Amino acid sequence: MPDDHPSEEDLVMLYYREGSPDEPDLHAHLECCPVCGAAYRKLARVLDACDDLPVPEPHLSFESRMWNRLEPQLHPRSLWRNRWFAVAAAATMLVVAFLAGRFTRPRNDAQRIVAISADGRQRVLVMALGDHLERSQMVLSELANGPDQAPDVSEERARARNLISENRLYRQTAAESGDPAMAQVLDELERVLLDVSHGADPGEIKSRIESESLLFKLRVLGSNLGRASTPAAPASKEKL
Amino acid sequence: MEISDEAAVDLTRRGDPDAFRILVSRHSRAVYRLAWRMIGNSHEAEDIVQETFLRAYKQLKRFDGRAAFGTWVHRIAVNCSLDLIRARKRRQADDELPLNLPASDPSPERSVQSAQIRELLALALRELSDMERCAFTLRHHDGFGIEEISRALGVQPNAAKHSIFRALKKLRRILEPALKPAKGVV
Repeated sequence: MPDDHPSEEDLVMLYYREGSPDEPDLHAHLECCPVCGAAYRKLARVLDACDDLPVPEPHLSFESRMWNRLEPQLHPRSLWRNRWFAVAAAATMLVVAFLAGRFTRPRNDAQRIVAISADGRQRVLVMALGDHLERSQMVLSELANGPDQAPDVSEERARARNLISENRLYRQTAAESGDPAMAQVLDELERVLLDVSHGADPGEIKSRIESESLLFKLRVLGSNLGRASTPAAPASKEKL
Repeated sequence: MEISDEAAVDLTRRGDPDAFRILVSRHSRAVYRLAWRMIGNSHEAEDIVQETFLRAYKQLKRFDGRAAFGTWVHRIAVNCSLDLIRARKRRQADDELPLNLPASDPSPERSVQSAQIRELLALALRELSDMERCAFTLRHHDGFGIEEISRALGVQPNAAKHSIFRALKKLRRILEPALKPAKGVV
């Protein structure tokens, strides 16, 4: 049995393969020295057991949740721009509704004008979102029904790129207005649109659209929007 | 065709905000695991993930591409975790590692012994100081070398090494009595 036994620290470094120049000698020593060999195996058992530390796996939607937390902090200015855009759009709609009422209705019918403007604003928003969902569906349908190895998807890429910023605005609005289901679907849509715009493999995109039932979800959202806006139309006609 | 990390970094630098999302989606789980091992708490681990990517975004100009993006972001996560540990210490709210271990796997193949060992492991990790736990976690779970650990923790390589040895002594004291060698093995 050799006299020069390795220390516990040497054994730890050997376990972690820290690349000590003495490593071959240490291995040779462990093979012929039963005491050190047993000490090494004992140490290795403890270190192997440390692999067992369980880390709780985060939720499936962890990545999108993290992104939703991060995004407003990454583009504070663009968020403000979006907010100003929303405020400006709402103000414009109010003015348009007001003028429409003024030129088509008697001037003293102020209450009706307010009702028309609120109803009109809601309908414009619903129509805009419906249109966005429809255009997104068209892009996804073309990709889902196209060949796996499409020769040229540059047109779909450009259309997807155009839809992303609009989608982000709708998703943020849905999240802020307390509609998590809508926000979730729009989030899934955004991820696919992003991948399409970045030139991901059409075959992969196709299988993702299918596996996540994205087209089905978009159709359901669209038809829900349609139902929400349909009863309002005759009512407002009656008012008018 | 999947966009590479390098391409996503490049696009982010050129002002494409969506490219950064790809990096977050790709690396946030690994960062979460690292943070959880160092912090031992799910909520704080999520805060670390958020802070890590925020710092990465702000410092992206400084990323020179010598290391992989994943390695670079890992280092930022280590620093964020250490900052949180220091802040925790300053607050002196809680000296103990609040290891909220997930429930044991109920599958039959998980033996009673391994469940006990996991519990002992959680107990042993509570015995470690912050420095010992960080050094040990970086070495054992994340495969950092001694030099890398010393740089991440801002200590001399010898100090990093000794933190690992001290951690291991404490772990051995608690775990060894429960670990029986396999039959025929000394």
